Amino acid sequence: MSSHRILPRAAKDLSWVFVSGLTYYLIAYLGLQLATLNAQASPVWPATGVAVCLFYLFGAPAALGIFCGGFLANLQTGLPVLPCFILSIGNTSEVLLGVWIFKFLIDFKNDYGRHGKVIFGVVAVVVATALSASTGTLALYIAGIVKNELIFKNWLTWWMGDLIGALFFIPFAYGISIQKWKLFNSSRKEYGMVIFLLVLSTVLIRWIFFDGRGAAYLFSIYIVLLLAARILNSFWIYVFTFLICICATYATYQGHGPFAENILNENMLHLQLFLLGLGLTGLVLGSLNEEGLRRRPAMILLFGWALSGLTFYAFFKSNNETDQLRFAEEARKAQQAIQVTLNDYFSLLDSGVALFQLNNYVSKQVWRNYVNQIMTNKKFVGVKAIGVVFGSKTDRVKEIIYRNRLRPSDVENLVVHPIPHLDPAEQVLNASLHFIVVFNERSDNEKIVIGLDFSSEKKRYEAALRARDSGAITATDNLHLSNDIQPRSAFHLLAPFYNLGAPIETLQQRQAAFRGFIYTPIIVDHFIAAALGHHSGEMHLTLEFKSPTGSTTPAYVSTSKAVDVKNKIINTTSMAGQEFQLTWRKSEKFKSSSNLVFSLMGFFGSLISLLIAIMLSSLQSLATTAQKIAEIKTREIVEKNKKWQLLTETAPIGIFLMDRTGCCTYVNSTFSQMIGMTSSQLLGYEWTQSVHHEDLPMVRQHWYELLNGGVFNCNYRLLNKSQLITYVWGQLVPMRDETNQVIGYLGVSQDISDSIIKNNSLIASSRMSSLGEMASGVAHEINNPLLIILGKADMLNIMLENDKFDSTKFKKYCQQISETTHRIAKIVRGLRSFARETSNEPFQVCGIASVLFETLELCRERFLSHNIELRLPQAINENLHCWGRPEQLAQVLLNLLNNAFDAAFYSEEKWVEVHVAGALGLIRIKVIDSGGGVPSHLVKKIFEPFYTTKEIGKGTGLGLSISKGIIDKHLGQLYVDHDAKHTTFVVEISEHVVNHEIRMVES
Amino acid sequence: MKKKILVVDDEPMICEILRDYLELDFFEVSEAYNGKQAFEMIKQENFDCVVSDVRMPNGDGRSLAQKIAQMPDPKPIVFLTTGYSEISEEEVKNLGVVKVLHKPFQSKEFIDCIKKAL
Repeated sequence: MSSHRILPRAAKDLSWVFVSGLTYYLIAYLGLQLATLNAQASPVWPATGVAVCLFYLFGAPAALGIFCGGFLANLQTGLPVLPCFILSIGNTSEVLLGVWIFKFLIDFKNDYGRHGKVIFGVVAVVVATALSASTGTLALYIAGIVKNELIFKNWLTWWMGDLIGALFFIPFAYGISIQKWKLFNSSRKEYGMVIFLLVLSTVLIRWIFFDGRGAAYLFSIYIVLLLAARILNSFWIYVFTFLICICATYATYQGHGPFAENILNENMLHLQLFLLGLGLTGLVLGSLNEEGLRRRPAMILLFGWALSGLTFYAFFKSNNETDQLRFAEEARKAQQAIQVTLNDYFSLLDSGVALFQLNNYVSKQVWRNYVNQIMTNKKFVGVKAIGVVFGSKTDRVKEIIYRNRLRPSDVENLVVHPIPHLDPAEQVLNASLHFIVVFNERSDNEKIVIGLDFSSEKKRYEAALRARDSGAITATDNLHLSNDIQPRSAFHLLAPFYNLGAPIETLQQRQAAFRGFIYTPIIVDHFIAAALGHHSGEMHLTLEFKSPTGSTTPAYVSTSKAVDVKNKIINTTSMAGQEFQLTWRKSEKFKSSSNLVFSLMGFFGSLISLLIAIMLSSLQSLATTAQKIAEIKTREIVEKNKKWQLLTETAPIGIFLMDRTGCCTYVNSTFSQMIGMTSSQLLGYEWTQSVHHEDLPMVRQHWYELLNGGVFNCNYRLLNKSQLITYVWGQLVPMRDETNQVIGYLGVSQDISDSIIKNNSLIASSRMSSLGEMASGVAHEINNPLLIILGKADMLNIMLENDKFDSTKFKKYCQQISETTHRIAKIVRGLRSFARETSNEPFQVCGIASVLFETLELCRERFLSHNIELRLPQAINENLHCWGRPEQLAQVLLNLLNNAFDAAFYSEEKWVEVHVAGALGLIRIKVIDSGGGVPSHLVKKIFEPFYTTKEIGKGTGLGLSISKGIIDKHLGQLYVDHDAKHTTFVVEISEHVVNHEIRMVES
Repeated sequence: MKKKILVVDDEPMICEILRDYLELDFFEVSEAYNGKQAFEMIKQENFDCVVSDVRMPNGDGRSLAQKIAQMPDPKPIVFLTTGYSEISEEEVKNLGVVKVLHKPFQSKEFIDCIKKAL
């Protein structure tokens, strides 16, 4: 591989690294700007989402870029190198882990369908961001930025930030990549809807987040998403979700909206919970949208959101109310504390005044005692100095001192101090009175610094005058203390005292009797600290001096951050003749009563509605699929049924269904043809009406047997309407229900006319062949007698020719010829029965005796000439008759006799016996031969057609089967008697009783 | 010397006729009514020719012919049959039967056949 092939590749990779690094750096920088908890943990971290997209676009080089970008961005926040490194590793591996988990889950369980992608995506993001949060928190812990108690909060903030960043950005980017800027499915309705939704979302966002109607309508923002899901495509859902996310975040950061109640980090957590719900909803709606968001899930979602919104708002409201109450309570308590402290100060001043009310002259010792008492009293920890001011008309300090009997030694140590750096505007010119600090004790040193003239400064002068005039403790306006390096807000409390015993009712009296005042300087910071020292710090106070004109001068602002600028309590109190305005706000330390509850409620509410909507949607699509499958299956079944129906209808055999009573419920066309009626006529028709009356008893018998567990399987004749006979083979099968009761029958009738004809022709041909046999037999039989006649005739001739006429011999020969001729005649007579086709002759009365004898004629000679004894019954009852065809019966007997002959011929004993008996209406004819018998396994077979043991050319083997057929037709039985010693064939036939009278008429 | 012929048939009147025919031509005739009987007589006497019916009870023509064929000095046999398919050509050859005559036949036919056989 040449180098100039690798180089472009490397260059391409490097450029990807650079691009992704830069992108990530910028996004990370933006995210870090919004860090709330500390400089690194930001609840707004779209960088995760961006990173996933970069990785997807560029692959492995992107990972390197992400690492570098993140590293640099965090380094800029002042984090040391090692934690930065760990943190960046976390950020990069989060992307890799997330992608890997997603791929793994998709491959592993890819039968969750569309929703699978969403579910797996969420799972992957949740796990991966947890990883990043953990490494980040670890890094910060190592760096010492995060202390033990804040670990969880830090982790939570980080995790939520990454999670939301991923959940919002990824679908948005995905949507764009799918759509490729093909924004619409090109319908005007959609253009309109997009514009409408833009307007709607603007209105709602402004309403919820910027107008302060916030919490109550928070969940109405979901309507935008729902409408987008119903009418537009997924791309727009993601766009709007993204839009709402940005606006909500911005609003909360600016301190607007329902999430701006507390300190920023808390707010962000609430916001994040809400955005989490929103993001998930967006994702799910996007995936539901692909198969069309149906009404019912949409309704559920709306309902769920309304419920969540209400719950959220209820909790939010109650939370706020609780907070509000507590806030008011805390404000009141704090205010009261201030009042109490102030009152304490008043009391100490009063006790000072009391000193001067009792004695004209207060010694330094007494004064010192008093001061010590104050200073060591923990109650007056805010009091830093107490002084005495005496008023005079002149500004001669020393005179005042003398007048007030201070010791001369004190005079040397006097330090007179004016107010330094006094603004000329504050100066009082030409004051008529002077208020000079005489005693001033400080807690810290012994030096008596006196000589400050209240009348040099406006505010002090003004207050002093007021104190003199009012006779009550007076506060100055906001001023700076003269020896305060950092000019803090302060004021003096002046408690006036007058000449002993002088009346001080009226103003003039007071002015006249004024002597001086006790005063204490109060630095507002110290005062408030003393007053609120034991308080929780949950309150933020802004203390202002209020002038009679209404303008305020800020004197004190709490060091803690004030949150919730909307909710403030403003109290105006007048203390010591000075109006103060106290503005109470919640400080950042103010503990919100129930933390994340309402946000969690809202989140879980929307989550549950989502899950229900997904389930419903799946159920509905399942139902639709099931319905479709059912339709397909039904169609298949109907098709199949049609096939079977067609099959049944067009089958060449008659198929019919009937109910329990034998009435037809269905017939196919073949069957209706057989019966000779139409299908509609046949409904309800009792089919046995079409059975030939002769066969009916047998059919009924078989049916009865069927009901008792047998089978119905027999031949019978059907008579159709035109009296045409159809020979059928019929089968009935019972149909049973679950309780095994017969509910009907399935019947099959096969037209066997063909086979009957064939059978008849077989019979005919068998008859012919047996006729042939018979003929050859007859010829056989005749040849011998013919030879005899010929021979005897020859003899006669020779006698005459040779002239050896012998009358005795002549007579003998003639007789022999005569006898032999008769013999021949008898044989020929027997053929008579074969002369006619008899199978369609009508049945008639047959005399058993005559049939038998006629048959015997045919074969008697044969028996005789072969020396086979033919044992016949002595007498046969001439009155034995049966109903049938005499020629056919003769045929059967002949067949049996022939078989018997053959059997006897080949055995030792040679005889054939014939029995005839009639009893109980049944005639039984037995033909017994001396043969060995029929082997038991062949008994059935011998009645089968074409079965023969005779050699080829000797027998067709049709005899017994035809005979059986004939006897069957005569409704009789032909069988082998197993129990007899010798082969015994039995013919059973019903006796037909003949009326003698009729018989006589016939004959 | 008169030739001795043995006539075998289960019907006596046939034997009568045959005897009459043969005696007219100066043959000496003996009668037998079945194969068994015939064979006994053959064993005892020396016949020049045997005329036998095919189908007889108690030993038919076939078995007789077989027995004769096994004799050291077999004599010619003539078969008389009543049917046309009672015996096949092959069998005739196998059994060493000289001629087969179908009943009924004329006396002349018969005598000629016997003479030929001898």
